[in-house]
Amino acid sequence: MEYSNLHRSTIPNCITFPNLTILSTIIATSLLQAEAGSKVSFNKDVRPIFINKCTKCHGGAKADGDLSLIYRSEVLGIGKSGKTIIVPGKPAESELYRRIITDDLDDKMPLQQGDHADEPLSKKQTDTIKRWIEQGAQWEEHWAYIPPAQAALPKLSHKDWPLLEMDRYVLASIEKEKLSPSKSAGKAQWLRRVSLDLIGLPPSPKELDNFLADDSSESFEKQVDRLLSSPRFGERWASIWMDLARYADTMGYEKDPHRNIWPYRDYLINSFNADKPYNQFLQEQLAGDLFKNPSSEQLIATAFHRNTQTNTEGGTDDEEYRVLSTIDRVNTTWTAAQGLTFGCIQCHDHPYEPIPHADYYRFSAFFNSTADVDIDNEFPLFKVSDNKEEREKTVLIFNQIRPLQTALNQYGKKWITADTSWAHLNFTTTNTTHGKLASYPDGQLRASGTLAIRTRFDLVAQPQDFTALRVSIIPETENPAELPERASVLSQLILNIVKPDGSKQPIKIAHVFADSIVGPHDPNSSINDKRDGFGGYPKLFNKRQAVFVPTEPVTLAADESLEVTIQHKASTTGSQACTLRRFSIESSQSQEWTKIISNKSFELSKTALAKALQEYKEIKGLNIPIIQQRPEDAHRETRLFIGGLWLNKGEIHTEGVPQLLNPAGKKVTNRLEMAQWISSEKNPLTARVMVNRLFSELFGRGIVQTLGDFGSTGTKPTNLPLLDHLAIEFQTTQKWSIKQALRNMMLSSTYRQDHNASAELAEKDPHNIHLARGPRTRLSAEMIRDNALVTSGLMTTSLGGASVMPPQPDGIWQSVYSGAKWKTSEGANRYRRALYTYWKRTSPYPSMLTFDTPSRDLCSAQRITTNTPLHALITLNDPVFLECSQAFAKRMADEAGTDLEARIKYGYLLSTQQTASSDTVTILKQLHADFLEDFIASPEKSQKVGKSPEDAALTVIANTLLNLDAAITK
Amino acid sequence: MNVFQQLQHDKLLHQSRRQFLSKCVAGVGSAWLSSLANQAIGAGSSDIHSSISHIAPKAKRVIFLHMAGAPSQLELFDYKPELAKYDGKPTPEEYLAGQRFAFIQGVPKLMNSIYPFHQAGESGQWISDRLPWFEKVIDEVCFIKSMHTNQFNHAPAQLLLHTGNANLGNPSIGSWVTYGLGNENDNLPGYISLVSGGKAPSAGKFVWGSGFLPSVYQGVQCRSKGDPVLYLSNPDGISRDMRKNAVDAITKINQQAYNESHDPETLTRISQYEMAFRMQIHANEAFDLKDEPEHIHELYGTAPGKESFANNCLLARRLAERGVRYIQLFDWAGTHTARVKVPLSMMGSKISAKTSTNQCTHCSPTSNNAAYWRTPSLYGEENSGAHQCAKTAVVRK
Repeated sequence: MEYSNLHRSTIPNCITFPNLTILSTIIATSLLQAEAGSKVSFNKDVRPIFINKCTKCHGGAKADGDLSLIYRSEVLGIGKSGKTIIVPGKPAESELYRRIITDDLDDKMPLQQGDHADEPLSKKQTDTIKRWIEQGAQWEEHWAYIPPAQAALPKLSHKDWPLLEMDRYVLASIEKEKLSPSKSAGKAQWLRRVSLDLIGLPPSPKELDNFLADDSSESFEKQVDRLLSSPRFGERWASIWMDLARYADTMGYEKDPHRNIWPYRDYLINSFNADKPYNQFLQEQLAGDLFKNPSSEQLIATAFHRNTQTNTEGGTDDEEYRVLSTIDRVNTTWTAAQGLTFGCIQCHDHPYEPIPHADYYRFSAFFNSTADVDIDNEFPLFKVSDNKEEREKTVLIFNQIRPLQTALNQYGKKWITADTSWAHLNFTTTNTTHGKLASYPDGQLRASGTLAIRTRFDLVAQPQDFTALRVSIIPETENPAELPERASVLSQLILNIVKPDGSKQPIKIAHVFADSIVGPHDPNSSINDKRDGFGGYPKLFNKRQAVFVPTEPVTLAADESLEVTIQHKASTTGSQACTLRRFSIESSQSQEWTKIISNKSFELSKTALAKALQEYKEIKGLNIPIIQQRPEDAHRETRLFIGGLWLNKGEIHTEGVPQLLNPAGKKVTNRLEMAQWISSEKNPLTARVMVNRLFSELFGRGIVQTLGDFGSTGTKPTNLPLLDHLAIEFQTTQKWSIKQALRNMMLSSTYRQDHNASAELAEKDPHNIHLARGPRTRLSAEMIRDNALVTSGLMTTSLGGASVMPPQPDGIWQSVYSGAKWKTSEGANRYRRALYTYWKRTSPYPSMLTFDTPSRDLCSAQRITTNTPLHALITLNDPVFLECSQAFAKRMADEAGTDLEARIKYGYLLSTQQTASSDTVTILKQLHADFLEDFIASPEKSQKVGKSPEDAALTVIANTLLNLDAAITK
Repeated sequence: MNVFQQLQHDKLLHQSRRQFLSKCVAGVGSAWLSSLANQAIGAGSSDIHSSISHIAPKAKRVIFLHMAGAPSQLELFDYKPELAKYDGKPTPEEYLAGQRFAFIQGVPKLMNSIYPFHQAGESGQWISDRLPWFEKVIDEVCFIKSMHTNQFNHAPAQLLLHTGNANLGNPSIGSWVTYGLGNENDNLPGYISLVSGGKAPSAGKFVWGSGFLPSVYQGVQCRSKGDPVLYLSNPDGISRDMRKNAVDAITKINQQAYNESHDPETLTRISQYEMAFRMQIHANEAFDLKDEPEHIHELYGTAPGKESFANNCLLARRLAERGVRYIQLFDWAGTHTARVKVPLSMMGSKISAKTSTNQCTHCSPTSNNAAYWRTPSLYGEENSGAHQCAKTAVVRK
């Protein structure tokens, strides 16, 4: 679970809750009270009162009396009543103060009657506000919107303790709480922790021995560096990013069909292994497609935002789900990279942060002109060559295709409108196989009634010589806010000259020029018999025009006629017809068209395109969904959704980032610039959010506990100077290197502390907020599986590749309208690390779900570790763990000799890297003896667990070891 | 974020892990909390969890029957006399203006209920002749006819129904209920879902997902065939006594770990292992229909060992009797064609039996049975039906 999700307001219809007083009670406990006479801090003392008592009516979502206490300009401005809300220095003249102290119950704030009635402010609260006004009503931005700054350190007493600068910030907090740092952890404890934290796997006995034997001063550094350079490092950290990226191997929603997107997961592994700077890592994922000549890796990176769901259920509106994907991309970008609950402002101004409603749509404009359209084939796709060496060649060809198509189209595009000789054909016959078709005086043809997918329009026009025909597909609505409307696709245009005797002479079309090269279909597919064609698919956003140029000028005799056949074949999900409904056909006699198509360079372009397409087709590989930008001439306009409802469209907005975080007003006008803005040193959030995430992985909780909410309702940082110090280091000396940031944290005195607490320390700081001891945390879902695999020696070590299906109980997958089956992987693929487990959104792998992996429907900034009986059932009974136990038992027997005690000690070491206490050995020996006796007495039971009663009893010991607290905790 | 979300948000922030634990799936954390919490983790803040129950809840348990592809309520209990006037006629324009119906082009014709309606019981509730058995308990039933939806596709509609939002990411109603009211049974999950018909809901497991609430509040899907709870059974060859022996050993060793680390999670883990061990018995017992008398099997149409909606209905009752807070039944029956083709009297018989409280003293005044039917009320010329935006719920009074 992550807190940030609480804000994911994809909910236009807000739920109301009757008891508002609870809210007040809760917040009251968190209020920091100002001491009388001291300097009042707006952030610490005043803002919490506003948020608790005022902003539910005078906030971002609701601003009664046009007053919002979120915005400085409003608080220090003039209210609706004409009175000044706050006059700095003069409480008596400040309307806000008057209204909170008045005895007039009709006038008092908070309201004393009605739905929003609330307890009046306490004496202490009114005093705080009074003193704040007296002291000049200094407004402060929330800490997270101010760039990080290196704080001065107080004098410290444990002078020898800090190894690194970060330790001094930690020590300041420890000493402030009158605690002392703990002693250093034993080397084995530290190595287990650092190994699991960095690569997600425990150290082998040999690695442990090497470390224990290494007395050099650099021994800790050597271990961290060894682990950082392990290819397993990327696997561990990719799995964290996969929660943020909502990575899954299926498309989601009802049928939840398979999606090829695992190359994106491998991109993550490779990026972490290569220690790609975090700023570059973000830029590639947000805008890799907009880089100059993007590499295949950069294109694959953009699949980050193709992990949105595609709705393939029949009859769903592709535009609705395209819009939802856009919203998801906005929210995910903000949650993952900025740690802000931006989703709140989909529907209204942010209730607690000074971010207006319109900022949401300015930001969503960055994503609104991407080419994807929620269609089943997941267009646009990029082919990831099976042969790794060929990947860059593939991208070279791929990068040529769109420019070639556009260049080819450019020969005729401007003439579509520049040609002034267009004249409507005069139709004598307008027949249709379905519904009705009629010709209108303005030259338009309009279809109505029920039109089937394969509707055919049979038109006959009076003889007319022409060099080109222009087909215009026109939306039915004239109100742009009602667009887009359902698809309208001309699948095939067939032209014939009808002779007086009734015979037909086909007219061959040489080329189709379109107003834009956009969407999944090539306009030239409208002259073949395939389903795709020219038009608006899967939605018609605006008028579309295409010009069909015959191989040579067409002349008709007076007794001949022109037959125009329009064949429809395209459909959207649920077999929805995509016919033309409003269109016109005009002819031109301009010689320009014939010239264009006989131009030598046009021919060369055409050949070059055909060659590129053919070469691309011949590459063997996997097509994965990526982000591509629509061309400028098909840029979608972005309208604000009133109340967050996608059909309720308001004003148009263009690309931009919130002023709050861009005070210098730097121009940010496209997705690439947005990615650069996010990943710049100037952004006050990016580095903080990331170092906080790294810190939380290592220490079990973030300095800001709500990893996805750094806003004013998120948790306050427990140690802001520490957070800022780490953020500044990350941006400057570490140059956004994740490995450097981790290395630094792991070599700190803070991280090196023993994680065992005295009873006294555990009582004083139960959650280890002040870090006076080392972190002790449960293994993640992935580690639980991987640990069992590696301890038992079963783990497959190959890196990357298609997702696999380790055993899961029958009957877990029961998707509607889907033939997909869980086919248990064989051989090495049965034993791959957890992150390679096939992730089906509507039915995730059950044991990982129980160990807190999110379902990955949406971006998840944080897992809350739970501790439930279902965990025990998995590690005790899941056949996967039994299989691991059997292999683990065999390993103990094979590697530790015949002595039972030696085997137990070895097993304990393998599963915990610690030395078993004599009590533990005694308990396990007794357990072994009991089981051995049982198994000897009942061979039928024994055979089900192991080859012999001895094997079976040792298997039980192995399973017990895998279940120990020490084995599932680091 | 609205006030309710804010409330929950703040609540989570202020709620320490301690409080999460106390409401874990089976609530076992509370066992050690009550005795050890004070020593182990110090005095906590006021228990915010209890403050949510500002009104004394009357409803103690919920059984939610979700029957996808059921006959339309227009043939069961949603009497629409106005509709008769429009039978076979084009839909009035005002109904279509501004609406987007994916499957409909042109002007579809309306279709009246096929089966006759009459008033029944003391309440005078209108009901069709298809529900003769249900009619006998009609005065024990409350109908809610004011529910609306703007979703006509399966997955988003199911999400809206169960989470209040057609988009993903929000907790199901069962999660909220379990979150708000906690669990009454220490040996079974507080929120259980049972599926029949061979298919999961169109919206997948999000229907009983916990959304942004901690995952412990998600419904635990139990199975009426095989292990009722995943991995409940010991591996073949490990008897219950042997398992007890192993869990005892784990407990002893973990106790040592606690003595060294003073990590409260270790104590919780000890309790959870013991709880898991108890759950193995209690869950199996709760899910074993064999001990039901013959007349109950007769009434419900149940057959032990089968995966059927009937079995799940009886299981729901057994779970309710054992204090499971929220039981979500999901049955998948394909399309709505039953509307015109299948005589509904049998269906009526089963539902009435299953909603009958006379047989179930434990759940008598407290359990809610709710059923939702989706309405195929607009029929196009090519028999492509869109689903009008009306829902009716039947809730046991």
